[in-house]
Amino acid sequence: MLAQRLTRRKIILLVESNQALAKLLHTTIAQHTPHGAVGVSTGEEALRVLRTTIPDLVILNAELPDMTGAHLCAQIRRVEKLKSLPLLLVGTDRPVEEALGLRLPLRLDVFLQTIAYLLRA
Amino acid sequence: MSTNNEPLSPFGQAPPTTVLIVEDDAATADVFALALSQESHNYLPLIASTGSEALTLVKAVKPNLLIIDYHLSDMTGIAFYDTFHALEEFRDVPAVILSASLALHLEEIQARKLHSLEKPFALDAFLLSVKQALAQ
Repeated sequence: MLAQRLTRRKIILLVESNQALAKLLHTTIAQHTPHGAVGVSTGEEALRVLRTTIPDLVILNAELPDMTGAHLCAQIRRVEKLKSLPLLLVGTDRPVEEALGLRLPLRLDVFLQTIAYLLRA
Repeated sequence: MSTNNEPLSPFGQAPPTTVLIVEDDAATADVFALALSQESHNYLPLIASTGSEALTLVKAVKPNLLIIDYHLSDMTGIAFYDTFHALEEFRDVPAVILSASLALHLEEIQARKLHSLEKPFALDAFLLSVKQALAQ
């Protein structure tokens, strides 16, 4: 059971309002990692998911239509069960709320390396 | 991986285990469906966003398991379960109910012998509950 849990493929919540970038990141994750992603386009939509279940990683844009990525990170960290949830901010390299940041334009090799780092067992 | 004790299908594989997810938030339902699909090719997730949509869907396909959000937009998860479970052919279908305040609903959940998960929960806990409910 434990080995099975450690090898479970991971689920990433992708919070991105730019549809073209969301599609690119979704495809990159699907084709270049064993993991899967579910996308939402606003901070409030992300919070609705996180009120129910905890994905393995949240990748969020630093500028969302309804709030900044930093604000969303702060909202997430307020919840006890989400304090250690790995967060990756896209669009800034300023770390906030223990989230890692990647500047635009994204280098997809670095993006994949960062995902692998954040999802390490 | 076989998740039930049914015989192999004519195609040499275990038959699919249909999991009906009754959840009004589309992205949340997608997370559950993805987690199930990744866990086993045999899990076949179906999504209904309301209780009435789920009741229509089960007329077409009998699920092996229900995942029910307590707060649906058109009825409570318990009201949905009661309507579903009242039908003779669905008496044997187990269910997991999801709520942010299980303590408030404990009596009605226990009276119906439902499995339950308190929100927010980790996906490992979700998948474990699914297995336990299917094994009952």
